[in-house]
Amino acid sequence: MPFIADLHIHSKYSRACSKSLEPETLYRWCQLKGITVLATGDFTHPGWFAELQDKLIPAEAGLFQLKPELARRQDQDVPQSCRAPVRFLLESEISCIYKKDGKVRKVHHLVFAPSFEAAARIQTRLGEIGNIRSDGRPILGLDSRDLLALVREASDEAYLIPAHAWTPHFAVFGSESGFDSLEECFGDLTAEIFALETGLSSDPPMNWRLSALDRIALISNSDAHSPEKLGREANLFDCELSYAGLFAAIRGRDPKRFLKTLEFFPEEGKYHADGHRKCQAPLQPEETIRRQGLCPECGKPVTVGVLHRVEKLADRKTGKRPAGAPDFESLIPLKEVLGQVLRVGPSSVKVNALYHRLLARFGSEFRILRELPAAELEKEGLPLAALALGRMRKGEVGLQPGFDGEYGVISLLTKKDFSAQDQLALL
Amino acid sequence: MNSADLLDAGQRAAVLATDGPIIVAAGPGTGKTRVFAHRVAHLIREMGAHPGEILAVTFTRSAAAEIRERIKTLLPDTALGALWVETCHAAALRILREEAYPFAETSILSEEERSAVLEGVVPRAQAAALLEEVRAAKQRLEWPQSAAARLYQERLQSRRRLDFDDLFLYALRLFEERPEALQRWRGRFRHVLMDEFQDTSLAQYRFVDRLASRDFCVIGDPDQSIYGFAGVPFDPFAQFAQDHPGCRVLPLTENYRSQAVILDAAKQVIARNSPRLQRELRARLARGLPIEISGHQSDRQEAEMTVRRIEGLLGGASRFTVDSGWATQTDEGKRTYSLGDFVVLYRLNAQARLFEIALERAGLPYVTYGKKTKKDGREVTEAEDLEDIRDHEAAAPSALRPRGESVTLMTAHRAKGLEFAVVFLTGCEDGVLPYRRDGEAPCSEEERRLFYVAMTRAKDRLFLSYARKRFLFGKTLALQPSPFVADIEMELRRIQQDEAPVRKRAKGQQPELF
Repeated sequence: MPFIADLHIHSKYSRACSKSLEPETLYRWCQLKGITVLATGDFTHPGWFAELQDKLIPAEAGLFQLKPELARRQDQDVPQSCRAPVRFLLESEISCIYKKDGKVRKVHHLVFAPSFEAAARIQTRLGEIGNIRSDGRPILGLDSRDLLALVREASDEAYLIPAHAWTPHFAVFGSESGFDSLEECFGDLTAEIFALETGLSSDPPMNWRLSALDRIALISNSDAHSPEKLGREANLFDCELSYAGLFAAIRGRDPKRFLKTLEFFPEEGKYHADGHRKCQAPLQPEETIRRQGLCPECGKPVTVGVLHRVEKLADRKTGKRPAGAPDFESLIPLKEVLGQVLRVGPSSVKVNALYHRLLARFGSEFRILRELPAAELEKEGLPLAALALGRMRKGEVGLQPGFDGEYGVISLLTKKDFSAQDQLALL
Repeated sequence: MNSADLLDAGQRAAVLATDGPIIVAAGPGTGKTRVFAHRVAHLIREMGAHPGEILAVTFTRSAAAEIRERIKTLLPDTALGALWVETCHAAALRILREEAYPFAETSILSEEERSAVLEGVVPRAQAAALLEEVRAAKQRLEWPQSAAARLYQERLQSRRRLDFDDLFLYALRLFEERPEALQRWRGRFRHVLMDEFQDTSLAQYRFVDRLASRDFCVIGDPDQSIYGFAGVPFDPFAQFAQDHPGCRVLPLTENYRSQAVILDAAKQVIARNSPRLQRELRARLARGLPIEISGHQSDRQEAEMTVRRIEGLLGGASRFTVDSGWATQTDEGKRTYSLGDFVVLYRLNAQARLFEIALERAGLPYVTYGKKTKKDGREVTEAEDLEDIRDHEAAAPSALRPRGESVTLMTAHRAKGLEFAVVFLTGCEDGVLPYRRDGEAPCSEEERRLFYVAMTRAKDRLFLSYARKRFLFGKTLALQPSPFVADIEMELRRIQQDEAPVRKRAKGQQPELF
């Protein structure tokens, strides 16, 4: 049976992350979201590592589950409609800051381990090199290539995947401190890189514009800093439920086992377009080029976003799906959809109440976003929600791209939709 | 290509002058190491010297390794096995071993053995003072005279061990007792070079001087002499001039390391010391950004703000610092640095701890050089802290670089000979830098040189900071800014106000304008 996996999150031990990112909360939220396999995040952090060892027990090979006594307590807070098994997989993100070829490089990487033993080996090695105690996502002065070598030495089944590959400041292809190719970054070990995380601001078609990435599997994850953000991007698999099964599906790029990625509209990502947040000046790449990279407001260089960067490194005009590449779906978090329907903020009390009512009625967020017939929402007295979901699934959305750290806005409804509704109410 | 190509006029003159004793007066960042390596290459390739005829003396082992690498790069096809690139101590030990003198197998006293040797000689509390006495005597080329010192020496002898300073005494005694051996060595080393000459002790100088013949080249900068109190007041340049009448002084004057602002400020600071050799130094780089001087309420705040500045100059170490605008607020011109570009310098190892705590909190990797704690985990005392600067053989930063970059923490003394893109010179307080022990007058000429050395480590950016309150060796000190800071003219600096909320000032008190 197909299942959803989110392979990049953080724990309460990471800087600027929610204190509620604990195994119990994650277990509960995975059910609300409809996620079967969740990465643990932060296994390099000694505190989190100890907590994981304490609260998880082995499940299928390379996967773990919450201890039953802890799970039972959480289950009370999960509506029947959402209850489902949840598995964890050991993952951590490393921030490499170093100089290469005379340039400062800041690149984030995901590291995966098949067992606590392998994770401990990686942890020990990294602990000798730098400080892994103060941040769940440690900063190391280590060359990406050397990190990759270290990970591969720790275990045959330990892997490295470059994180949010296109974001300007901290990514392998980032405009500010990244590289122009995987080879530049990983040198002789480039062949060990079999996948990339596309990040919120890019989607598969953008990546398909680079023939160099034809052999690379594209994965999508949430990089959640709070439980509510889990699964905002994720992957849909139909493979053996195990660590090896998952990675075989990713590496093998078999669209029968790695079905699709579940994506943001890339415009919603906060580094999609170019611009200056302080100056509230978003720019499309062609405009940036025309202005020679300078902000129309302050005249200083703008932050070059993901679209521009792809444009620069691409060797194809448009993305062509390579053989073996999984499909993708563009989604909008349910709370944002409901916020648009109710014309209030997505984190408002009203939206929250409706969100949980819908989950209790229809099942997990992913089920509602992806599978629930729109007619069901109409029956529930939510015709605008039905309309909005229908449009999202067809991709009929209004796009106002994000830039320089500011999220974009994807609109599903227009004034007209509301006036029709209001008139209806007058009858 | 001739090895003298790619050198400026001053450097070329220093490389080519092989026909008599010379002093190369090399200001900071003027390419001293380059001249040193090129001179060796020139002797071998152009002058036909055999590598075995050259003795090149460096200050530290890491400097020796670096010079050797550079020479190898210049002479890729030459076998250099016979070439001696050694520290003064290592050269002396090598000679003593080859001569089997004074023992069939000469070896150095280890730290563990030293405690055993000292056992019962003096009470433990006086051990440091005794070693100091022994050391000072040996640096003057005298055998120590007090009863305790003689007992110490006898015990060394019975164990057939030498301490570090014995090396030169025994080497010189060897040369006296066996003139034929001296002749052999002198005949072998037809070309002698000596680096960091300003920090040479009398004993070291005499040892190398005995080996040198006509081609004897010493390289150094009297303004960078910072190890004076480790031995006895001794001016190696004056001694050299006296021993080698008619020696030539060749200056290296072009600084390729520091932005002009940094060099100008450093020159203003050192100008208050009278020059011992011609002092001429010109910046070859652009003006650069002004020197930032910041005052802080406390040493703790100084450390926090320093680390925050590092984060800013990294261009944000995390998405948090980028998205919060924290990084860009403080970053001019978008120039970013990586971890290995930063050094935090201070006068005493004891000052390292607060920086470590702040870096730890920020999650930034760092390496601290020097001792803050002893093997038993206790903190070092004031005397031991000062002693540590003599540990010339400490690993240099480059030795650890292959394991990944990190922010460097070290004393200003240890930074000698190194360079960093961004230097934070911290604890710029009267009594700390210049350092003053209770009741003592500071050796302010030497402390000023130390300040100058620290400033001239910086390539791009220099930050000076001081705290009004500092906890040091069990006491909380109320401090004023260092007088050295005041010697930098206003035009070259930018003043940062205290960056944390300032507590209400007492009535009538003016904010200090540093």
